[in-house]
Amino acid sequence: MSRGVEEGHPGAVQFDAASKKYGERLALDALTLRVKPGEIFALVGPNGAGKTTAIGLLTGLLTPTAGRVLVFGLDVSLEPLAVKRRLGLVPDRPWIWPKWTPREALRFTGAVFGMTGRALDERIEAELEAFSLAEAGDQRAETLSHGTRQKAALAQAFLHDPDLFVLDEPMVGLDPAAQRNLVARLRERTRTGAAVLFTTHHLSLAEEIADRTGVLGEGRLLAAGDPRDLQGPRGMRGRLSEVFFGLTERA
Amino acid sequence: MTASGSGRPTAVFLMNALRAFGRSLLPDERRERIAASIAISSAIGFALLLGWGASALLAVTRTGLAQLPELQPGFLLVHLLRALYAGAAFLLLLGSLTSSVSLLFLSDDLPALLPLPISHRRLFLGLLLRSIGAASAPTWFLATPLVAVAALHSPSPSLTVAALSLSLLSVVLVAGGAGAIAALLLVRIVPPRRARLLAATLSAVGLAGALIAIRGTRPERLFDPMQALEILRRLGTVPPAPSTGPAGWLAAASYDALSGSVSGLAAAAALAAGALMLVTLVAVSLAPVHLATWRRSAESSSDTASGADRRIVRSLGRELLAAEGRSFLREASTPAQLGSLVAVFVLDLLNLRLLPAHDAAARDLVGGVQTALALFLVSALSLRFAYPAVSTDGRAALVLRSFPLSPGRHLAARYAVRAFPAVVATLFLIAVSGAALRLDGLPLAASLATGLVGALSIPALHLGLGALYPRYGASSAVAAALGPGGLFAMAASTVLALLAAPVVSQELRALLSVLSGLRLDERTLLAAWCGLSLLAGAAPLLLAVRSLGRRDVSLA
Repeated sequence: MSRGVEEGHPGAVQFDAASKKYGERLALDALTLRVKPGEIFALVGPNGAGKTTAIGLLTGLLTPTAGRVLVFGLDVSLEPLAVKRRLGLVPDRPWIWPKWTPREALRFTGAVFGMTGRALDERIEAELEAFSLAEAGDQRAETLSHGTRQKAALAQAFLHDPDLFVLDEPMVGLDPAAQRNLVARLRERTRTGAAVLFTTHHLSLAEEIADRTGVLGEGRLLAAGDPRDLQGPRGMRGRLSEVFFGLTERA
Repeated sequence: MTASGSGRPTAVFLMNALRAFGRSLLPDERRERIAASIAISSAIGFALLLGWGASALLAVTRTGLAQLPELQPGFLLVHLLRALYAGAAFLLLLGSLTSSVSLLFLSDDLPALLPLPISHRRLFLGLLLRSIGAASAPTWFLATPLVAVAALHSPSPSLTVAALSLSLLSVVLVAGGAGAIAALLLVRIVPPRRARLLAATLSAVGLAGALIAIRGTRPERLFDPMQALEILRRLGTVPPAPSTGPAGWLAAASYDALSGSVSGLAAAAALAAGALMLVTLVAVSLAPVHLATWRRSAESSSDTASGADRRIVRSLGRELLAAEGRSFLREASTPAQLGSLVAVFVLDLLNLRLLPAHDAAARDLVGGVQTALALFLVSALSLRFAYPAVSTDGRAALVLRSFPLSPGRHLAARYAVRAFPAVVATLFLIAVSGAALRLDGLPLAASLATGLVGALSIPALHLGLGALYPRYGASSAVAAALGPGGLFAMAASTVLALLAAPVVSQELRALLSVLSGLRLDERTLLAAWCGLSLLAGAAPLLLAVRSLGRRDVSLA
């Protein structure tokens, strides 16, 4: 796993005191966070803690009210296209045009990322195969189950070999085999230097696969570190779930 | 299947969209395929009918003009083209306003497209053109047969098709673009969901205003030979004002092309290129505004602390009624469609003054026709609002089925919410017609009784059939209504409405008696019609109550 990020280097993801206000409500309060290339970072927190807002800022769907968000040193607000070229996103609700098939959606995504011809065709076949979509690949999205649409959304994210995976609740709807497959593929990609930032409500998943975990509560980063050694309130240590409840209930 | 044809994103998107459109026309499921075939056949039939009508009108006009040498056909044609282009622009502006709010701010694909590495200027131009395309589809559909007829009667058909299509493209681009800009401004003022309701209401009010304004010009004068001749003389002997506005330029270019002049095509092409350039420039300059507005609206939806509903739940019955009322009123297309129906309602009342009601026999006849017309309006309302009532539960049907809630009780609440406005509207329309026609005694009582029974039965017929064959997977209420079941319900309720006319009108009964050789007693006929109508309403509702608790819920 590549961990060689120099001190001061921006890393794959860098939130610099990034805040986001919705009207009077502070959804994200001066979030400062770094994710290094080759690292899997899990963002956990109760509903409304600011996880999806953080992903919105990272992908350019939202702009910070204060602070800044950098991806590989590029400011998301200033250079959105350059940032997006390096991202693979799976949103919280997987979306494909209802009358399109997963194969067509992949073809469009590939074209957007500058992939063409036989290379794209081969890549599409490989991704359909990798996510067990060989049969569902030619069915209309509107007829697919939530889990199959989630697999198609994941295939879209993997298609162009992004340097940064941003996954909002990626395991929702996936069967155990697909979950295991996704974890294996993410680990494989981080070995070649890609970074992963994902949100989840499954604390055991964060504990199992994340190199580091950040706990968000009411828009603030309450703690961040190795999920197996995270520090709770008053120096408390224990399982991630104990630390999580200790932190978030206090917040 | 291989992923052949990969290439530029726009080309891939268009190819995928075309395939998706093809799948909509030729769905896999048998029932969907029948519905699509009916819709396509109806559309082709309508287009052929329109073309045939235009062709016949052209032939009659040519014959008439040959006898009126003082009239200049060119003057008449330019006036007509100007009116058509201006009318198309007005309708496109209204249509584009609503479709643009939906497509530019509320469509599900925006959050999927925005994180992709596509420049927002390009993305916004694409969205703008999609929105204009969606809003202009009815215009192209109506214009195609007219362009074909014009081409067949012009010296150079290909030149005519090209020039008229380019002229229409200019109108579509400019008016559609203007609608999209208006939508952008609207969403800057109010949040998108409210903006969509507002846009739909504005469109409906505009359309209703236009219909009433056209009615105000008294088009019935064209049925009076002397008045029609006077209008034709006024338009056909005075040269049109010089072409100063876009509609005038387009009319002049189209007229030149229809006369076989290449300069007309060149002018139409120049105007279309100018319109495209204008839309592109507008898209490029307004793209940052769109992005900022979209972000703000996405944020404001996160900020929404909607007014908490603090009503005390008093009973399940009341709660079901409130829930149905909410579903009915909060649907985005409801204001537009109700607005259009209100316009038809107003026109119907305006028409009363023009109907031949000078003697008792004529008043009796018109009274019967007005009752039938009121019930036909109830049929149209029911097709749109009662037939899809169960189908629009969508995925919520799964949850509803799991509730300890009697399907009959729920259906009764759905029925009450839809039947009540139908009864009020019908009785109002019939009462106003009755007053205007000075109906009294049995004819008025028969008219009110058929109105009441029909307004109770027809929504039940539609709701029952819609519940017997629900389409939970339909994309919208309109899509659910336009299936074979909805068309059958519409046909059945239209027959009931037509049968109401002889029940009310003594003159029509007499005519039918003569034709059939049967003696038609007014009281017997009224009782028979009411019985048939109640049966037609109650039977599907009762069958649906049985079926809803037992049938599988299919979301496909």
